[in-house]
Amino acid sequence: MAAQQECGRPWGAARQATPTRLRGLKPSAGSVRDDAPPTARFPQEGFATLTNGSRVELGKGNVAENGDIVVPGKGGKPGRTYPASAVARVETRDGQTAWRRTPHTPISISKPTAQSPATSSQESPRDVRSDATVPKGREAPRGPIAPRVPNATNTPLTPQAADVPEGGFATLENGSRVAFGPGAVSENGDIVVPGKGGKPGRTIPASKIVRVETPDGRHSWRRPPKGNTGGSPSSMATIAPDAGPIPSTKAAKPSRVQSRQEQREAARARIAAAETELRRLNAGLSQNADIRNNGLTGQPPNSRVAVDQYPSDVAAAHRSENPNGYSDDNLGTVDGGDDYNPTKKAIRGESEGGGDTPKDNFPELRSDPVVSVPRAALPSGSFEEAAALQSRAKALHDTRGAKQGTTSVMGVQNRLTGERQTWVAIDSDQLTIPRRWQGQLLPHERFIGGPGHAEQKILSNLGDEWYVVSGGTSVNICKETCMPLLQQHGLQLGGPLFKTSTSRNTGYRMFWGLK
Amino acid sequence: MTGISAIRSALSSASASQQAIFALACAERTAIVFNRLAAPASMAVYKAVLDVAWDAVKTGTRIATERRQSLASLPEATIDDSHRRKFYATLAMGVLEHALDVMDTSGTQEAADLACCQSLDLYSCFDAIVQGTPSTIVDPANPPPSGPLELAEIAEQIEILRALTIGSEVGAAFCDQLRERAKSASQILDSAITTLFKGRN
Repeated sequence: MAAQQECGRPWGAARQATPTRLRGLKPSAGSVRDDAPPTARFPQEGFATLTNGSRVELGKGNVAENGDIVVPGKGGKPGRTYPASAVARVETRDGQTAWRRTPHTPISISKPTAQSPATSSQESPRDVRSDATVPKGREAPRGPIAPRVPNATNTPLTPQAADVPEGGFATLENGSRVAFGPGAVSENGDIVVPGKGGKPGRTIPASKIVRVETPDGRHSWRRPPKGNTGGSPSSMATIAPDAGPIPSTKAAKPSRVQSRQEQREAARARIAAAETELRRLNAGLSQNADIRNNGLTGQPPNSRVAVDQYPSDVAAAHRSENPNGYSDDNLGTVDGGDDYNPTKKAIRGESEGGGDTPKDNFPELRSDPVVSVPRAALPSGSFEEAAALQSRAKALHDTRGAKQGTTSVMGVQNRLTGERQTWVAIDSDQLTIPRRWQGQLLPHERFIGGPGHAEQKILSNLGDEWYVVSGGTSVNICKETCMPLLQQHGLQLGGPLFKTSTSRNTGYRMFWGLK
Repeated sequence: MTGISAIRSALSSASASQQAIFALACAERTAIVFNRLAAPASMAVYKAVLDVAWDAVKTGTRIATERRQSLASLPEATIDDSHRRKFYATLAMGVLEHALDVMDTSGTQEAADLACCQSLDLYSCFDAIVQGTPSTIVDPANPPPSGPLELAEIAEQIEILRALTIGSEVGAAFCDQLRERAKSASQILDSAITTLFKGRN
């Protein structure tokens, strides 16, 4: 039987396989994105400034795909074509959007690709960013934690619906985060969040939104710096130091390299801690040799490079969310309160009260009807816990011997008592515990039986009392059913990207609660 | 001794050929799920592989790799969405896969145990479908009782093992008898599959 289980792929491989941000995208008129200079997508009227200083008025569609400017003739006179190489700057009539030749753009590093018209012999305003060779270790960040930082010179002024077709998360000016579904981004950039349970929805004006990202964090919009929104010439020419997703080798600074090295070291330490927890988690499983040997990634021991290459941006983002840092003892400590290490304590079978400071900054994400139920604590989930639970899911799935299907494992907490449990589900309808698991589940683990996808049935049993802290699945999470449900429960998908054999699935198998 | 314990105990003392017949009988009792839910073209391939497997057991020969590959190439081999009814054909296919593993590998008891458990899980699955019970939280320390379909499958597995262990010789005729018995035992899944037809596509 063909293995439907989607094999793991190290981050490095994922980055090399799908350098979407690096490829020259086929230009199309109508929008200005940071993955192509605006000249080739300049549908408006405006002006072009040539390298000789002269100014040319542009009509709609005068900028050709290759960046040349073709001004049609009038009154029977022949038109005129200005080669892209002679164009120094393009701006709209109202000055809102413009392109300007970057003086220091290293044209020479351009590498021809089939998809890039900018690589023709003719030098083009379609700058070489999209075709640049990426130095090893300086690839564009992937994953949900560190979405791309758009180039300030061509970022749309408002969120674009096309960037988040499946919904995602919006970060507002006040720092709160709002989840939204497909089609929620309107034409003017406002985000319309429908109401739940008969409650009216609400509209978040584009002016309040500072950032939008997809659930997987791979596509995002960030509000350009205020200096750019007015379209002033000086601000348009400014490129933020960290804006370029593909800095050239010359631009590499020792301090950034050093910082990345530190982040990588931190990621390694965290992975090691997660693996320690994983071993403890699997202590009661008699047939877990595979997971003991393979570690987090499901790869053989000699492929530890996958772990070692874990993106430093994940570690960095987590560090910023958890300033206390991670260690085996203070994993996920919230506000210096009670030690919160759900995985570790759950393994020991401890059931403890909350004690954490209730600090729910995102009521719209915790949308369960729990108004009358006091929350003992709502700590955010963690990458480490999600990694351990994902590994547990895979170990249980392998034990089950199922060739297909999903096993999902989620760490849940009781809002009233603070009790923590681990809920396990498979995507078969059976109400009985799978035969291969009988006697193998740990005391704090519960099996969720019944119809539905594995994640779906766990979430449907949370009721008012329980909420999910973190979780993982044995195979990739589906887009249609489970991803939206997880997001509705305030969980973000993340972690390593796994190869997906169908467009119906995301590349993710891990998720954790937001704070 | 509970049903599954009795089965595992009997399997541990069974010979490799007995374990293979036991596992094939499990596959035969779940084949009705595949036959009712899979595409017609897939059904023909599935039946052909099952026939070859029974012949291999009778003659003590190995199954050609191409046969297994033909099974793996079926569209039902890659369905992982339990909202689709063909997903249950995929689960049934898993039982046959484990049965073929019993005949192919040296770890026959492990593969036979997997075939046994997957078959029981599939029957339990149809118990839940027939009962229409919504999803519930199950405490492993206090598990719910098995449903009638799963109990019937447990009884059938025990009966097959009893017949294998007390039989003097496992010949071709004996295998044919066991296969026919398995086919008729699987008919109890018929109404359950019909129930499944109503809700999914």
